[in-house]
Amino acid sequence: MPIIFDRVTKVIGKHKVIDQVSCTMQTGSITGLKGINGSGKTMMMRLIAGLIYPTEGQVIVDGKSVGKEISFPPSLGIMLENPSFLNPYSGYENLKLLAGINHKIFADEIDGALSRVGLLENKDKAYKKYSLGMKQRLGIAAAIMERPAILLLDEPTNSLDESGVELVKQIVQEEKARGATVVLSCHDASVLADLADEIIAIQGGKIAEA
Amino acid sequence: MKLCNHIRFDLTYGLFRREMWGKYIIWLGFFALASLDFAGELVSIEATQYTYGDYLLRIFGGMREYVPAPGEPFEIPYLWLINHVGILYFTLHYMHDDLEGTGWQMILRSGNRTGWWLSKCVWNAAVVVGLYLIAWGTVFLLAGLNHAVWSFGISPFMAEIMAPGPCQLISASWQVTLEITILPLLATLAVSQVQMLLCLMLRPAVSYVVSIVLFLSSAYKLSPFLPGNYAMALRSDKIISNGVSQMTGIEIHLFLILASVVLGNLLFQKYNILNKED
Repeated sequence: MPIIFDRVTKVIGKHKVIDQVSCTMQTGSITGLKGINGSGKTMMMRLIAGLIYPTEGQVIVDGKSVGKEISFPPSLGIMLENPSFLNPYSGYENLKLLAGINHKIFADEIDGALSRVGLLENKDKAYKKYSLGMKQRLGIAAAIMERPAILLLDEPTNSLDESGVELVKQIVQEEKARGATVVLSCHDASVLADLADEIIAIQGGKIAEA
Repeated sequence: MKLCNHIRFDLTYGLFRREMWGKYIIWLGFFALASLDFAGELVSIEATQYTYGDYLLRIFGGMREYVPAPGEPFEIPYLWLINHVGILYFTLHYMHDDLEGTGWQMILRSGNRTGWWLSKCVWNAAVVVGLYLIAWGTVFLLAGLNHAVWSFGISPFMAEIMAPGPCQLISASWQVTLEITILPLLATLAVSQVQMLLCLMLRPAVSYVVSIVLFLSSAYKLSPFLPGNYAMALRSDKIISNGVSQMTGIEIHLFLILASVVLGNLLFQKYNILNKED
C-alpha cells in the first residue's frame, strides 16, 4: 500500500506541527524519518494512522484519503514512542485483548509475535514488571502480530541493548520481505542508513531533504 | 460486534481494575460515616421512629432555597455536594487515560471511533449507577441496623428539621421519593456525561471545575436552568411553591445525557488522538 502526503499541513493549537509536506512512501519499501525531537516525525506517523487528520492537504493510503474516504488505513500496525499497555495484564493478555478486536489471529500467532521479539519466555509476566526494553519489544510485537500491510515504527530501538537493536533490524527487514510498507523513525542514523530505502529528513515540520 | 468488544472491555477492566476498588471502598466509607453521623443526630434529638426515607433525605436532599440576607451566610450542603462531585472526580480521568494507553490501539483495530466513544459513555453510566448502588446499599444497611422503618416516607420531625417554616414536606412526604433517589442519580449521570464531552474540548481539570461550579451554583440559586436543583428534594415544587418540577428534571437530565453522547460522538470523529508529550 503506497502512502502519499499531498501538501499536508497540521496545526495543533497555534502550532504548525507539519507544514506543507509532500512525499511518497512506496509499497514494500522502508522509509526512514530522520529529525530531532519535536521535528514532526511522530505527527507524520499519527497522520498516516488516522489518529489525527490534516488541517490542509491529504494523506492518501492505497488511493484513499485518510479522514475523508477512510477513517483509518485498513491494515496497519503501529508502535508509537513509549508504548503503553495495561499494567495488571501480562504481555500475552495485552496482545490477546488487542487481537480480540478483529479476531484475525489467535494464540499461535500471538505467541509467534512474542517469540520474534524475544518475549515468549516472559509472556505471562505482568506488564508492570517488564523492563523498559521489554515494554518496547511488546510494542513491536503488537504492531507486527497481525501481519499488517503498513507498519509504522516510531523509535523502535529506544531502550534496547545492542542485541535488541539487531533484532529490530531483522524484524524490519523480514516485514519488508513480506511486502509491508514500513515507515521507521529513529534517532540512530546508522540504523536508518542500514535499513531505509529512502530517508526523509524532517525539520520544524517541513521536509529538509528527500 | 466491535462495539461489544469495547463495552466488554470497559465493563470488565474499566469497572474492576485495582484503582476502581480503592474508589469503591472510599465511597462506601464516606456513606457509612454520613449514615453514622445521622444516627448520632437521631440519638441527640431523641427520635424514636425514623425511616429509610429520612436517611436518604438527610444525605441526598440538598438544601432549601437560599435567599441572601444580612446575617444569613450561604452554607454549602457538603453531603449533597460531595456525593455529586465525588462521583464526577472518580469518572474524570478514565477516558483520557484509556485513550493514551491502549484505547488508541483499540480504535485503530476496530476501524471506527464511534464504538470507543459509546463504550466510554456506557462505562461512565455504569460507574455512576454502581457508585449510587454502593451509597444506597451502605445507607440502607446502616439504617436497617439502626432499626429504621422500611419506608421512603419522610417523618414529620425530619420535615421540621430539613425544611422548617412554611413548606409542604409533611403532607408531601411520600411524593419526594423520586427526588431522594432517582433524580440525584440522573443529575450526576447527566453532568458526568457533559463533563466527558467537555473533556474533549478542555483539560480534564478545567472540565471538573466547570462541573463543581454547576453544582455549587445550583445550591446557591434556585433556578430551573441549573440542573443540580432537580437533585434536591427540598427544592421540589411539591414542597415549595416556587420549586422545580420532577418531570422537567427528568426530561432535562435525559436530554443532557443524550445530547452529550451525540455531540461527543460528532466531536470525537475529528478529535486529535495525541499523547501528553505531544
